Amino acid sequence: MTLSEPKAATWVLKYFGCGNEALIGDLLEEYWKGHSLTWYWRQVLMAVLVGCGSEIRANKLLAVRALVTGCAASILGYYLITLPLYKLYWGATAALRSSRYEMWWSHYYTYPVVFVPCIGGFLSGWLVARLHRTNRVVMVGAFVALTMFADFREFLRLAADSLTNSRFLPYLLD
Amino acid sequence: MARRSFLGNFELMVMLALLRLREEAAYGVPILREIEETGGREVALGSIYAALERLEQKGLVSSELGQPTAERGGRAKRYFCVTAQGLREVRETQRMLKKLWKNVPQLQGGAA
Repeated sequence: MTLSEPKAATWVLKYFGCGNEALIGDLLEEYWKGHSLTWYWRQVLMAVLVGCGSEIRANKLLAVRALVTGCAASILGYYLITLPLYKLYWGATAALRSSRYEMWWSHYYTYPVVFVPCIGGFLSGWLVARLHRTNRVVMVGAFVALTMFADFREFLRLAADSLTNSRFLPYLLD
Repeated sequence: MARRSFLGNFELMVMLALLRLREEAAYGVPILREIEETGGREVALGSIYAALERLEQKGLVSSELGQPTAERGGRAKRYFCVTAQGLREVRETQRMLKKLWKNVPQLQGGAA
């Protein structure tokens, strides 16, 4: 029986790792000799992390510049894009709710609002990539990691709120 | 006193594994096996390649690509070998470690 190549993992290593063909070949050789798919993914993720770490260590100033640029763009994006869009959106949905055109499906208009903060985030990431073209994957990755780290406490708070919310408890306890 | 950089722990392990292997077998997988068998712990191939790249940048290791083979999905092997400068560096590290090893009372007698 011939095993097929784990294409998704190889793609991740090729584009988010160092793109080292010899390393991909070594991993495939070991995988086809009997290592599990979990082993393959673990090796790929480790290679990506180690590769990013090495690239950041080799370009410390560029990494600092990327993080500062990303954070500045996020703050600007919040005031120039997210806040005005929120105001516009809530204004429009409030007008719709109070008008005679309100239908049973009108509240669905509020759902896309959760994507509004993403616009600023995407634009910040795009700017970081644009200004650091040679190391864009690593620099955007570092910026995303910093953003996630900064939002981790809020994420935990929301998760704890959801888990202790009386609306969800019956489903969680069943 | 002149400032010089010494080999790190993992870099030294990779260099020693390379020296133990025959030249035609010194690529990622055998290096990984050598380190795992002697070190007794799992090592990521990515870490070995990262260390080899650092060593190559320092001029302690050189590499060349072999022929692509079907059992590697058409990817070539990258063979590594220790340069003369690399061998000097390993000897120097060995000499320094031997000196440091001497007269350490806690390490004498075999009891932890």
